[in-house]
Amino acid sequence: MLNLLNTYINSPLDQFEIRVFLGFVSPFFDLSCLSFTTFSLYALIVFIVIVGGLNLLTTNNDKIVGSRWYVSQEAMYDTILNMVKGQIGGKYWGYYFPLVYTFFIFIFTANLISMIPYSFALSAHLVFVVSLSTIIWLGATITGLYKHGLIFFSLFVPTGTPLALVPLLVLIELLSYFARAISLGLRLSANIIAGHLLLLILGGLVLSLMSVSYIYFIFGFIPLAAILAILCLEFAIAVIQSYVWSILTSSYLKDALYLH
Amino acid sequence: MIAKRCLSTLIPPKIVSAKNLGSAPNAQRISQVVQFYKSLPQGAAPAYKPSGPIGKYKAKYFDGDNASGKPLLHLALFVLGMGYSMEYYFHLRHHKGGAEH
Amino acid sequence: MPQLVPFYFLNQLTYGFLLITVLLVLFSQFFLPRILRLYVSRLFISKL
Repeated sequence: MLNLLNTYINSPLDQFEIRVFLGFVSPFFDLSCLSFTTFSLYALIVFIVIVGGLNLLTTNNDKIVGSRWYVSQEAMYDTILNMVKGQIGGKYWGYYFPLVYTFFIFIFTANLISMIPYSFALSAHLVFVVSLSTIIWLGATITGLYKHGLIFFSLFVPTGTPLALVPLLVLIELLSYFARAISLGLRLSANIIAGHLLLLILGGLVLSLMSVSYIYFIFGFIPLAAILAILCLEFAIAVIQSYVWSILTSSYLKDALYLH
Repeated sequence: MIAKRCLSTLIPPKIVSAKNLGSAPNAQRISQVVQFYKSLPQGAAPAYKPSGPIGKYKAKYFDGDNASGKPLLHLALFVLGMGYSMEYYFHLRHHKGGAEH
Repeated sequence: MPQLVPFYFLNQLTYGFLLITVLLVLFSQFFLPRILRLYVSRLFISKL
């Protein structure tokens, strides 16, 4: 019965599939990195929503009292400003505020757009997200080395360590420092992948349950309500993960800037 | 906030004290201040005229008291329609009537 | 997983980092200073 609606989906992983819409061919260079794909399309949508929808359209014609839309922008500005100020603090926090704000607003918008059905999750693409987190980590490390020179390595020895324990602790701290590069991106990506997969698998199960007969169709609303609850949880995760990403980015920057 | 903004905060403090007004070193400055206040536009602010489809959309859903959550709904419907039509074009039309491949 | 097809890695990185860079420039040059100027002008007309 429900197959008439063309709701057939091959595999739960199909939602992450990238397709090429517009490819460029040259006999001399490999231009596949420039081809317009699903990823580029949704990157463009996120760009238009952030720049156009959230910033250009909401200005309320330069009035001193913003509209309700601009209040949301001010609320996000204040939240991230206070977070960066609290996390980084000191003399330099202002320099890194636009960076952290950009990450926050990008991940926030990309996550929320990916919650629309038949949409595409930008932040579920491990390669992109982990590259981003690795570059943040690398940039923070270079900043620390540039600012402090060799004293930067005192980051790996917690204060008040007995001398005998120092080699072991340096090893552990070094490991945990290197793990940051991957864990920052993996945390976001794995959460988004798991959420989308869970919703699609459960939705497929309920769909096949409800299409058996009319009795099952009526009783199928009970698991559907549970899926609705999980959907609300996924919205919360989408918002929380963007905040977690920006809070961790600022805490890594603080470690590099001030060493403990 | 409006109630606190009384007249004294709008007038520059040097003008308020009347005895400084005539003195020679301040005459130049005062004339500049007068020039500045003369060049400011007077009367009520001109009403904003929306133009073009984006301007009209902005005036209808974003400005002032018209601000509402409807643009979010429009975005969701747009992305849903686009995603479904892509899914239909690439996958679903090959499975019409529940056929497997 | 389809997001681990190596053919698209460079494509994702190109467009992703292009997006992040453009957003960073726009935010640090235009949008965030705009909010700051709005706050400053509110301060000027109410307290100063």
